[in-house]
Amino acid sequence: MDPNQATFALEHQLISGLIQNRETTDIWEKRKKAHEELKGNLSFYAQKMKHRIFAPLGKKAMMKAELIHTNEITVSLGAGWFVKVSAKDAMEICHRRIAECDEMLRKCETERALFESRRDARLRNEAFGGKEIIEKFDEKEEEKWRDEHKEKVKKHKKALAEVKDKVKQTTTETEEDLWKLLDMLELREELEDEISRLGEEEESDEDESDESEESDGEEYDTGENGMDEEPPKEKKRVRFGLDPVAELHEAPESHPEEPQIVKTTAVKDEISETKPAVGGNLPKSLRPASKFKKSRQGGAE
Amino acid sequence: MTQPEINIPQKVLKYETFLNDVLKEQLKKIHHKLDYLTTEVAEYNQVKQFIDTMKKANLQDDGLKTQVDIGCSFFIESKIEDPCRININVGCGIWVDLSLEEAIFVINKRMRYLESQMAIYEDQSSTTKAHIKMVLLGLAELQKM
Repeated sequence: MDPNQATFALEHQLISGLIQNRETTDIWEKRKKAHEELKGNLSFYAQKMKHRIFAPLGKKAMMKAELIHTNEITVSLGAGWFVKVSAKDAMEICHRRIAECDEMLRKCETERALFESRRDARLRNEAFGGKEIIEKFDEKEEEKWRDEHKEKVKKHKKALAEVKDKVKQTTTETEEDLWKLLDMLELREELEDEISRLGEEEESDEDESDESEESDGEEYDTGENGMDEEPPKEKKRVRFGLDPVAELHEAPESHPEEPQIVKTTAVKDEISETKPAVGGNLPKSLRPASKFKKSRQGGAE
Repeated sequence: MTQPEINIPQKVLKYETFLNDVLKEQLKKIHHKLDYLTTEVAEYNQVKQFIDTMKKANLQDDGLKTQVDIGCSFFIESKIEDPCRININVGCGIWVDLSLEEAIFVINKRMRYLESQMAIYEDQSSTTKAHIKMVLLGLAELQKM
């Protein structure tokens, strides 16, 4: 059964129980009231020998009559049995019936309190506002994701190796070459960074699979886009490490990745040292994304 | 041809609301009134039968002893003073003191009136039922289109 449906069924049961309880209470209350009234009437009739009344004949007719033998009362005991008693005894019977009604009303009250407390307790103790937390686990999906993930890691490693090769081959003669080299170094660093981060996630088991899947989507699925967006963030962070705004921006997102930032700073420091020395062109270095793209495309070719 | 196609879901909704909120409510009301009238007629019938028995028994002189319910099935014996006179409810909470023959005449009249009312309501009920059927057919046609 669907868990949501189960809660609904429970709620339904409780409420229908409450409604039924109310109905029973009403019945017993009416009975009690009727008997109390009757008790008063009995003592009234017993006061006189005769009473002139209109005897009802159904609802639509009456006949003039008079009550005689007012101390002789025929009481129905149910199931077609009647007993003839004195007015005093009849009052006793009434009294007993009222006591019975009281007892039943008390029981009804207990039942009502039970139902209500059960219903309220459910609402009060629900830590998540009555919502069930459900995480679906599909073995096939997981398997598929793992395969895809493996493939992507492979691709990534390949890309990294290519970049490394490029870096080795490049000679720094002109300023342009130097920029290219720097970009490639950055790219390499990025890729390495990602690998190490992924490694961590894999170690930290399934509970973070969601998160890694997300980052996966950004960094792998979108390919170039992912590369476009990610690097500037990281670079800014490292290069302008003292910039409080950048720090603030990064803080919530990169919290779990703190360790490898420390790890990679060594490489990044080099860059930040070399950069101003060579170009000193700050605006250019601030927006490295497009260059990045180019250099990467170049690397891929 | 194109317009009804565009409006079909809206039309279906309109038909359904009309069916549930107007026709079925109307039918419920009519049946409620019919129920009331039927019980009313049954009560008059009961009184009529009682009067018939009284007439046959021919208790003229020494009255009639009976048990009167004083609530919760507690009975006290009572003696009817004059079995020839009876008070009848003629509607609107008015009670009239009548002899047995008069009572039967009044009750017959009243019952005829009630039955004519019942006939009117029965007529209305069948009309409403026919309307419901028609709307249902219309709905089926709309949804087939």
